[in-house]
Amino acid sequence: MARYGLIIDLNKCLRSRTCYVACKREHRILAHPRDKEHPYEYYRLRYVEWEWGEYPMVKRGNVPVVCMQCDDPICAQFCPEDAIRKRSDGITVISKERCNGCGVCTQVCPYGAIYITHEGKADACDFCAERIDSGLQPKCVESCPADRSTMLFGDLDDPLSEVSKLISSGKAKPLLLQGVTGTRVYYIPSSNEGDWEKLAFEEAFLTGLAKRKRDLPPIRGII
Amino acid sequence: MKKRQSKKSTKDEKWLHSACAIKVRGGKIVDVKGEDIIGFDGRICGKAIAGIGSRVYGPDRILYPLKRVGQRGEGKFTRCTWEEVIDATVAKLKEYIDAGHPEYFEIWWGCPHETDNIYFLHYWAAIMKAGISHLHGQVCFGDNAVEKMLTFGANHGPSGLWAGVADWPRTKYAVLVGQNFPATGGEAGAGCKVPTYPLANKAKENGCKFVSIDPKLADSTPWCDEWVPITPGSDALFALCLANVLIQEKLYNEDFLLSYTNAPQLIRDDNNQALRDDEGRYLIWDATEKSAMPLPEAGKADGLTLGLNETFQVAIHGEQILCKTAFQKLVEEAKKYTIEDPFLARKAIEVARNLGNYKPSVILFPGFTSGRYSNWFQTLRAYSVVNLLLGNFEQPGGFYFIKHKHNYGNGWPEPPEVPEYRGELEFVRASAGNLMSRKNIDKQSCYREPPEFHPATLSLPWLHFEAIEQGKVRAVLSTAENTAVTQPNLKWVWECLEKLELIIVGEQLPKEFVDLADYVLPEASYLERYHLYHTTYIGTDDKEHLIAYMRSAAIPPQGDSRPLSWFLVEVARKLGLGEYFEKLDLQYSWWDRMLKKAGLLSKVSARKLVEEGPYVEHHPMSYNLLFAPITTRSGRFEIYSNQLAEECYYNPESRWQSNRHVYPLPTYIPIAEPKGNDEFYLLCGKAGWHQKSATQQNRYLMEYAIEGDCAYTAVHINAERARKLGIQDGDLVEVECIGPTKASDPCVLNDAVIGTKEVARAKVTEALHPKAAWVYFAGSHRSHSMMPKAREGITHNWFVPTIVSPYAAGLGKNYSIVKVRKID
Repeated sequence: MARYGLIIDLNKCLRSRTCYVACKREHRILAHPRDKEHPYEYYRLRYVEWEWGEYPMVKRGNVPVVCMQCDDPICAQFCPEDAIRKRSDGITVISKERCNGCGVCTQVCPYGAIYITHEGKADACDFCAERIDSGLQPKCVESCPADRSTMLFGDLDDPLSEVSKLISSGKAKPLLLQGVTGTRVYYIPSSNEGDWEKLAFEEAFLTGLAKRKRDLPPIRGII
Repeated sequence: MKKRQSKKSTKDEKWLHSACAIKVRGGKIVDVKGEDIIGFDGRICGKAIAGIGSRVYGPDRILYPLKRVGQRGEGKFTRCTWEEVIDATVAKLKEYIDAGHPEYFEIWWGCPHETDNIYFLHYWAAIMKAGISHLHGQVCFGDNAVEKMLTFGANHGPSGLWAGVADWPRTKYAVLVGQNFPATGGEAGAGCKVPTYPLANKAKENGCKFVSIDPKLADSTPWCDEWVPITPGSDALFALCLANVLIQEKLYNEDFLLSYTNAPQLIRDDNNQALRDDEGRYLIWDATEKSAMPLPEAGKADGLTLGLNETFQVAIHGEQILCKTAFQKLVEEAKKYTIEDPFLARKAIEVARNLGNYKPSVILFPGFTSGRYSNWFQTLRAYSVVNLLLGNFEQPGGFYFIKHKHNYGNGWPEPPEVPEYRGELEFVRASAGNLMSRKNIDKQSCYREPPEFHPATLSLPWLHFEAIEQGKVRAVLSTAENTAVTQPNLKWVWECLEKLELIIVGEQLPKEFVDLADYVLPEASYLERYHLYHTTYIGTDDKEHLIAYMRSAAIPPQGDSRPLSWFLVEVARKLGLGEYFEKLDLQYSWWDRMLKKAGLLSKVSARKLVEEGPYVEHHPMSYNLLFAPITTRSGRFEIYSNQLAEECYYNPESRWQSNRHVYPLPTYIPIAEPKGNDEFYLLCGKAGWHQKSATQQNRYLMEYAIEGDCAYTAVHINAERARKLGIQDGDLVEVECIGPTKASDPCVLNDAVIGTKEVARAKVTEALHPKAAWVYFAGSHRSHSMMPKAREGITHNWFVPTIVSPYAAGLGKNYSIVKVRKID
């Protein structure tokens, strides 16, 4: 049984937003800019960008954030309905049948990777589990126009896979926030992100990450 | 893990070809991808993907003909029939035809990639004797095309050079100016950016260093290795300083200059004009013969000298005339300039040295788009001359001229397929190879003689608006363009549009021009109509890929939408001209005629392209500067422009005599400046995920989540300047236009925009030059029927005056000076 992982090369990312749009189309996620009628936003993949430095020595970091497929997901620990589970291939999935839409998971996820759909259910990136089961790649990986190696997807248990080689060489790194011991999403950082090892504590980055949670509805129901 | 499945049709769904690959299930589009050909590799950008849900099937899509109720601009319509709008158009055209002025009716079209069959539109206009204009062309790339023609000649200028086609994988150092590179800047030749992306990433993998010269760190340019902020409008100064370093440190490519440019050409020192012999030939100093000789054809350099720091005495016409080479004249011109800003001065030296040391595998590319400021024509000349100093053409890693193209013609039917044409029926091609209006309105001579010489522009938009004011244009059919947003000086433009007796707009989505229309035609979208496209681009396999591909109707037109060509045929029929149109097959035969002209019909037909996908030829890349003659006046790439000198700068009959904008050597012309504490240049630029009003009426592309740190509808202000003005992130600010005025810049035609005010949220950023405030292009709209977020922010073109630079008619479309103040 494969154990899947995703690598995003931030040196090659054009910031075209194609992955964002392709994901939304693939999963029929409601598209609408926030207004009075639509106060929330809905996305599995989201750009966290932040500026640092002083003019003229300025950089703009960029991390497309999805569900990191944590080894020991905090969201699953807090879900009152046991709706979040890991498959045997390591992919974390949310059961729409079990989910009661309380939103606790959206707040405890350190990455802000979970959102509540317009139908009131929790949702997050699951590496396009249905596509994987059909032998396809995740839609974002398939759609990225930069080049074939900007987004890579493969079996972490296959030492010959491109993803395994990049991780074992140290080029691809996880983004481990507080409380997270391991993830399946990795990045090849660029100079725009500064010191990657310190990113988890970088205020500008964390502020960008936290913006996500303002787009979400408040928690409701039983905690 | 299996590889991505190939696009094979099944019983329930099928992949069709419509310039992209379209998956249709149950008659509905469910997926879109790029074609499986090198360069695209099944990939396409987010704008195309978003277009399925928010354009083809968008909830706001215009599906039925509409007739205006209420005032123009209110965006209030009632549904009408095609019959009604056809009859209204016929009535108006008949009125003009009976009055002897069919040209009162004009078609305005926008981008050749988007307009439904531009060849047919020109055919229809020619039969009708109506006017037609590529109105958008001058705003898009007009003076860039002119400059490239002038410096490099017709065979080399338009051959991808203006779009920055380059041998990227072997480039070692690349300097991109004022572009959102790579997302929306640079080209592989495809007319679409997607094939450039893997090439640029390959260059990066191979160690190429990318530098962005731009007042703003644009949304995609963190991909580059370095950002160098430049003062708006000072590009020519920067470029001439680069030239100075290359010259002083002898980093120029002497062989190239001697062999392929007119650097060795003798220029009289007394009047700065070319020295010519009795036969009118340009002359050089032969260092071997120690005398003046005719300038040899390109490719020959024996005996030639750049004449650095030399003066030559030439006996000619019974006189002893002191001369210098064009190169020496450039040296003297470049020496005049220094950059005051110490950071930028240091960077200019560093960039020049890197360009010089890595040449010829370098790129210095100022972008495809047209005049950003009134001095942009000379700016482009300066950048081109720096490239000539580097000799980075047709060398590994340098600019590359696409060699393999077919001539497709225009597909016009010939008698006896149609009746004899009515009178003169010309398809006027601009010297840049683009379509032009066939009417005099777009071909104004700059002086009386010789009559064939005129600015080689694509269109002169302001002349159309003046023509409306004078009653020479009274009705407009607009398609694939949005004059109500994309032209500068919108206040004047809207006043002119209000004077029109009839406005018909073909569209799919709401926008300003729709709001102003009397009738709106629901046009079939790209995936619902037929069109042949062709291009040649460089692929990652180091080959030229010549492709022909068809847009086709993957689905039938939605609602009651129709191709625009159908509407025009109906109008023609009711005017008694049906015989010229009835037998036309606009789905396949039209395009087959073009394929036949290209010599391809024996290999592929339009129908086959639809059924099987693109036709592709592969040709190895080859480096050969003289793949075609250099068609400048000297027969060489021109550092000193003989055309500008003879036709304009030194010509007593030219209205631009002694005007610095047409000086034959590149020169820096300062523009008006913001002076007060609260004054800025107001600039704009594109986003990687936005292009035009259609993308700004797209729910996927207008979400806040997609923005990251690049707030789309805010006005961006430098952090230090904002602090001094007490402006914080998110504050509401008022932006007021204060310039440039006619008094501050002679290229400004009128002061109509002065005093324009709009309000927006501020985005405070370190990633912007202190003299600049910045907005995304068309990041806001005034259309009542567009979604709320699309109506937030500042519409840049309301703040830009009508600017017309001499000769190339650059529109200065990024040139505005504003005051910014916080609103309490």
